[in-house]
Formats: sequence, C-alpha cells, structure tokens
Amino acid sequence: MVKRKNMGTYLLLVLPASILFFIFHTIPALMGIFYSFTDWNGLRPTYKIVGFVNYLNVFKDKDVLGAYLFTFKFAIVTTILVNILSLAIALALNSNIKFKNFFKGLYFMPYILSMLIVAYIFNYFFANFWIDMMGYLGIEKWMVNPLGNEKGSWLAIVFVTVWQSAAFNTVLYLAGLQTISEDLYEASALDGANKWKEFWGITFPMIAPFFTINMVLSLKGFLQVFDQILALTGGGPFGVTRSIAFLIYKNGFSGNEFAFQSANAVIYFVVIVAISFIQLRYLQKRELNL
Amino acid sequence: MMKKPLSLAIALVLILSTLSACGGNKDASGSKKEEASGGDKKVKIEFFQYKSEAVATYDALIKKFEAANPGIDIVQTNVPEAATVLKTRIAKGDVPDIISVGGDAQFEDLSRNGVLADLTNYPGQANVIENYKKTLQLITGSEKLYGVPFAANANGIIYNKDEFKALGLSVPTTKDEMDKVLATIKAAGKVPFHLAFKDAWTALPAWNVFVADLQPATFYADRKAGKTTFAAGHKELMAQYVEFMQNGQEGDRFADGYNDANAKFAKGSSVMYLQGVWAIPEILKANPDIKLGVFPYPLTNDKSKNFLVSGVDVLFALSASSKAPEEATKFIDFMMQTDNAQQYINEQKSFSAIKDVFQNDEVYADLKPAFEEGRVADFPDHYINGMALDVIIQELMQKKNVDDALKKMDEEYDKLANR
Amino acid sequence: MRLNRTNWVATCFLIAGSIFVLFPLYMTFMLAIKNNQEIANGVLAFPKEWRWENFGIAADQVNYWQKFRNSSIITILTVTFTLLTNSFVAYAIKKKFDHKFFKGLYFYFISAMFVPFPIIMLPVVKLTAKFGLDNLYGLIVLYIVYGLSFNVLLYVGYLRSLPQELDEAAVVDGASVWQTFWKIVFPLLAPINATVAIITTVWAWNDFLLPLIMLDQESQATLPLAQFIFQSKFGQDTNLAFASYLMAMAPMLVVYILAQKWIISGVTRGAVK
Repeated sequence: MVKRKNMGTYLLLVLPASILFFIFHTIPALMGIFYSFTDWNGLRPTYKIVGFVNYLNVFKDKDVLGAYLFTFKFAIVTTILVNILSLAIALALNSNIKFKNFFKGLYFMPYILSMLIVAYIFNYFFANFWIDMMGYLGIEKWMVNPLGNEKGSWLAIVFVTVWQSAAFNTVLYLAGLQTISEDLYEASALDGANKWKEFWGITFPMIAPFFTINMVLSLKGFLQVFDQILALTGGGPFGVTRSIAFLIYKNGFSGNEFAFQSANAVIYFVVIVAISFIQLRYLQKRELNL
Repeated sequence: MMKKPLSLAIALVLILSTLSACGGNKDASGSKKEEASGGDKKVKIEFFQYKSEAVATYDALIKKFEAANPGIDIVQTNVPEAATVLKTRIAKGDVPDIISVGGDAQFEDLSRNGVLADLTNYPGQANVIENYKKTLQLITGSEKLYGVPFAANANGIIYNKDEFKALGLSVPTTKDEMDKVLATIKAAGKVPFHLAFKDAWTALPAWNVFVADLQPATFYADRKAGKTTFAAGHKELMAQYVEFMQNGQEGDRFADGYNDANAKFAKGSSVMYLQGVWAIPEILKANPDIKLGVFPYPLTNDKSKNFLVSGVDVLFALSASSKAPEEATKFIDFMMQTDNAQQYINEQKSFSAIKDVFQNDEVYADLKPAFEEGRVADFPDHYINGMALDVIIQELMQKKNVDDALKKMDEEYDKLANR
Repeated sequence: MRLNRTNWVATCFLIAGSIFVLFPLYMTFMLAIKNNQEIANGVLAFPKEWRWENFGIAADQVNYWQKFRNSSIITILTVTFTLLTNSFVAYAIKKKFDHKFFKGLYFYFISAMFVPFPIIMLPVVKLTAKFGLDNLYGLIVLYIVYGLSFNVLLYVGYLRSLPQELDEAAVVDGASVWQTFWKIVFPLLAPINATVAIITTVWAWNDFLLPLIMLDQESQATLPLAQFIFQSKFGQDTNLAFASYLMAMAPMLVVYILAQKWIISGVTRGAVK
C-alpha cells in the first residue's frame, strides 16, 4: 500500500533527470545514426539520405583503418603497462615502508592533473630533453624527437598516458590489497612460501576483482584517447597517431565528412558494445564465483 | 508538509537552470547582440581570423575602429586549429559575422556551401587588384566573389643576409647558381635549410613552388579529365623536390615544428629557410636584429620560369546569416582604407591586395623583379581540395619514396572525386 | 614479524619512482620562473633571477581570473547538482528496483556507459546549439546528465550495502519519501557522496573535449581549453606558457595538498563498493 502511494513521488523525481538524459545522450546518439545515412558535409544547409554508402566508404578508407589499428594498439599496450605499473606501486605502497603517507599522496597526484596540460609539458620534454638524454646514454638510434618519429610517436603517447593514468589504478589496487587480512600471509609465511609464490597464491587471487575492474575501466578510457594526441602530435607524423576519436573530431568537422564520420562513429559504437558485452559477461561470471 | 512542493522544487531547479542557460546564451552567441553599456546599445560583431601572427595587429586596428564607431564592438577570435573550430561552429549554425581566411580550399568549401554572402557588388572590390579577384574566382570556380582580397603573401626562400655576406654569396637566380650556393654553404660547414617536419605542412611551401614551376601547364585540367595521373605528371618534379629537401640540418628533421624552427633560424641555425613571408614577423620577434631577405626559388636555368608563388593570404568574407551585415561591412570598409591596409602589411610584412598600397620593406628588394615582370603564380595546392597533402608530403620526407607518395595522391584524388 | 621490518626494496623503488613523478613538475616550475635567456642556458638549474612576474604576465595574457571563474562555476555547479540529483535518482531506482520501469532505467543508465563519446560528439554540438545551450550552462547540464551513468552505479551499489530497515521505519512513521531521503538516507550517503564529488570535480575541472566542441567564445573558456587556445599566442615565450600551465593546475594541486587524505580515501571507497 505504502509503496503504491509513493510511486508518483519517485517517478516525479526520476523523470526530469531521465528525460534530460534521453535528450542529451540518447537523442544525439540516434541523430548520429541518422546522419550516417545521409550525405551531409557539415556545411550545407541541406542533405539527402544515401543509404549505406558511407558505411561502404568507411570500410574502404585507409585513414579509418589506420586509426583503428593505432587506437587498439595504443589502448591494449597502455592498459597492460598501466596495470602492471600501478600494481607494482600499490604492492610497494602496501608494504612496510618509510614515509608511507607522503608516497601515497605523491603517487596519486597525477590523477588530479589535466591530461591536456600534462601532455603539453611532456611535449616540451620530448622536444628538448629526450635527445640530450639519449645522447648522454649513448643510444644514437633514439636521438630523435619521438613525437615527430613514425615509430616513436605512439610510444611517447603511451608513456605520457601511463604517467598520468597509473595513479588512479594504483589507488584501486591499494584498496584491494588493504582488504587482504594479514592472517593469510602469516599462515603462508609459516609454510615457507617465497614472495613470488605468495603473490600468485594469495595476493593476486584476492585482488582479482580489482584487476578485472581496472582492466575494463582502463581499456574503455584508453579507447577514447583524444586530449594527449591533440597536445602531443596532432595525429602526426603523417597521421600515424590519429585515434578514432581524433579522426572523428578532426575530419567530421573540418574535413567535410560529417556524415561519413558519423558512420565511422556508429561502427566504433558497435565495436565498443561488442567488447563491453564480452567484458560484462566475464564480470558477471566473476561475481557469481565470489 | 514539505513533501511535494520540495520535490517539485528540485525538478524545477534543473529545468530552470536549463532555461536560465538559454537566456544566458544570448550574450555568448556571436551574432548581433545589443548590450546596455552606459545606456548605449552596442552591436557586437565577431571577427574570426585564422592568422595567429596577426592578432596584435588586428587588436590595434580594432581599437582604432571602435574609437571611431562607439556603437560597434568588434570581437576578434583567433584559435589554433582554426579550420576545425570554424567548421564546428558552422555545423551548429553559429557563424561568425566576419570570416577572414586565406584563398584556399577552405574558402572554396565555405563559398560553395552557401556559408558566405555574395560580395561581388561590394563597392570596395573596385580598389582590389584584378589579379587577386581572379584568383578567388578560380578557387571557387564561380564568377561570383565571396570575399574581398585584402593581403597577399609570397612564398620564396628566406635568407640570412649577414651569413650570405660572410660566405661571399649573392642571390641565385638560376638552378646552377643555386647549386653553387648550396655547395658553398655546405663546404663552409653550415646548414642550408633548417627543416621542421614535425608539423606536417612545413614541407608544403617548397612543394608548391616545384609544382608551380615544373608541372605541365595543363596538368590539373588533364587530371580532372582523367588524361593523366600524379604518378605520371609529377614524377620528375617530385624527385627533384625530394633531392632539394635533403639540404637540411644534420640529425632529426622531425624534431622541430614551425614555431621552434622560426626561433632556431632566427638564432642562426641555418643560412636559408624554406617558409613563406608569413614567417618573417615571427622570426623577427625571436631576433629583432637579424637581417633577412627573400628570393624566388631558382629551380630552372630559364629565369622566366622561376615563379614567385603568391596567393591571397587574407580575405574578408561576410557570413550569409549575419544579423548585422551593415556594421560588419563597416569594419571591412575600415580595414580596406589605405592607411589601415598599409599598417597591416607593414607589421605583417605581407603584400597588399589593394591598389596603391605598396610593400616597401627592404627585406623584399630581391622580389621586385619577379613582381615587375609578372613572374607570379598562385599556390597549386589551393586547387586540390580536401586532399591530405600535408600528410602525404610529410611521409615522403621521412621515407623518400616518390612512387608511393604519388600513388597516394592519385588514390586520394580519386577517393574525393568519387565521394 | 612482518610488521616490524622496513621493506627497503619497496622504499627504494618508490623513491626512484618519485623522481619520475616529480620531474615534470620540477621542470614546469623551472621553466615558469626563468627568463627565456636562462632557459636557453639550462632548464633544470636554479635561476639566477627569479622572475615571479612571469605569472602576472601570463595571467594577463590568458585572462586567468576569467578562466578560473569559468572553471570554478562549472565545477561547483556540476558537483552540487550531481550530488543532489544523481543520488536521488539512484535512491528511487534502488527502492523501486522490483518495478519494471525503474529496473529498466537502471540498465538504461548503465548501458549508456558503453556508448562511446565520439558518436554523440558531432550531433550534440548541433543539438545544444539549437537549444541555445552551447555555453557554460549547457556544459554543466551535460556534465550532470552524463555523470548519471557511472554515479547511479556507485550510489545503487552503496545503497545496497546499507541496512534496509532504517528508511522503512521512517516511512512507517509517516514520513514522506522526500523527508525520508533527505533526513535519513542522504546523510548516510556521505561517504559515497564524497567519492562522487571528488570524481566529478576532477572530471569537470580537467575535461577538455567537451568544452572544446561546446564553447566557442574565448571569454567562456575553461582553464584547460585556454591553454589550447593560447598555444599560438605563447609562441616562443616558453616561460609564459609554462607559468600559465602551472597556474591552470595550481587550484587542483592546492586542494589536493590540503585534502589529500580525504580524497584518496574517497576514491578508495568508490573502488571497494
């Protein structure tokens, strides 16, 4: 009875937000799908429906293919590096160390900094310090500005992204590590397990859920990489570091490819949903196991 | 009893904040805006211009204009990635009142898609040098004029006069002389060109001259008709171009971008510099004492074929949807006045598109013969619309694979033609 | 026995890593505080002349206080309304989860998390412009609305971990849904509110892509967007550019240093839930 009576109140409170969400999130997504079937170039006041032409062109387009390859290469490598590094930092922070709070504060700091500005700072670093550093180390092959280099530019972007993003994952891992009871280790220490075995036998299984969450969140975030590309390479040299988001922004607006890039975005959407679906299933399985 | 009223309130707050935002937007939109300032109504005109080098020059001129026209408030907008930002704004229907771009493919896009007002009958056109008007018509492929040419640039080789003197060099006018200059500079252990390929477009100024001087006269028409390809028509000149571009500094030529290279050339990192005259104010900013000159690329031994590439660097266009075209036109009128046009080209070291306004800076002494003989050609890349030429050429600079680059140009050309 | 011995391997690893974390900031500060001549002579050395006026000049150039104001308005309003609205939406969803509509709403919000921004990017620009919302306030609405997906997940997760009887008792006592929420539930949400507030603050303050496409008046730019807009204006004045970067990061750094412990534990809580 009580529940029935309050139904209206709940609805009234949920509806405005839901409607706004529908207007500003769902409608644009639908509009994007609609435009992908037109020939609108973003400038003309008129357009007509052209069916699947844009989709056929997307599959034939080398720029789009290049952007997909770059984005996935970047996202996968960065996800792995960020997770290894942040897990290592979290393990170190969780052990018996001096100045624990200082280190915790320091290692989490990059999280609160703007990716764009961090990338501008590293842009200067690569253009001015890198070459000297490599000269000092005697690695002549690497004495180039990586940002202008076909092979180095994507690694430089990975480097900057790891610097900024490892912080957040570190805190998540640290949270996981702190849920592990000391007793578990005490028991294994008595058994004489070494550190390596201890990590894989006790620590890792205990933080596995955090590992999954981190992998999912990282991958999802890195697949949408944009800020650091704009500030570091602008997609260059010769377009090898154009990410999907960057290509859609740049060519969708300035390349007169509004409709074409909308089609690209729809395909990208399908790809992301497919990946998320696989990850979600994996997540659910994990939740059942716990 | 605060249940329903308050619950409504929160919903209302959200909606109200939305509404107030709508109201608040009026003062943000670029179009005509009446703002009460000291009782007077001011008309706000947004002036969108793409040249970062010219921001301060425009600021000063705008101040002067506003002093004479207290009812008009000119707001200058200059952003990086100006082309993308401008098109974003057009896509959402928020077009700046005055748009200042160069005579290039972007201008073609804007005029073809009905963004710009027809300025064919604008009285100020009478003062513009005929040739530049023709250039605009060629670019848009229309008899109508969608902009008023205001300033022109020149794309030659910038050189450091003191270095030339120290090496006993004089300005080369033929290919053979140029080769000797390059050999002398290298023999003295100096760098002929400081290259800055980190920014994709920095290799394009030189490419444009190679194409303007060396490509078959009917190439673009033939390409359009499918009678030739880049692979066939451009092969020879592309090979020469790549060879020419090898005269750069030692080490990584992809380390510096445009800004870095301007500063480094100003500090003496190379004897010559392959940039258009638009770079000169930036170079002087980094080193006010440097003595610069500019000469046309001597690419052949037939002096009459060594063109100076010059294009419309700045044109003013009016948005077709501007709500205050009269006030906007007033500002264009003001800019076209001889004294203001003179001030602009003096500060920007560029050339005026307006009759009887001359660039007398000694930097340009070596360009005089080319201008006098009419040895002037337009930028060829302005006619290849929408092609990512900068990216292809940048890759060419790295890989030096001419055939691959030409193949890509043909592919891109066909792709855009078919879309 | 594990507790007493300091782990020096870990400590050394962290010390080495700190250099890595601090170096870019040290470099930024050194570049910001010198004149360009001294930068050319060496970036990392302490300057002979501390040019504090760089900050003043850079602040004038980018119109710092205006941008600071814009960023602050966006962040404060976004966080306030996010906390007030998103928490209640989540509460309603959780309370009525057995009702089809609310359950559907939950999955609607959650699944929206997987819609990549690029597909929305091009049309939302057109849409907001049509509503006259291509400005600061439109941006705030978008942040509040787009935050729903993740925040509903966080709030519902947290609400599920709370004992059920508390608010039900209140309802039986005759309190309205509204009163129950504000008087009993909302205070209980304090820890997760802190988490949402931190995450939303960092996002709204540092976001770049949304302001880039939404705001076209320089006077409305946020601090990160201003760094992009003024790239060309800084040109060769490296010191002014870096002074400006530092000032753009400073507000968050100050807040972080003051509330570091609270911020870290807030984010940690979000992770555990």
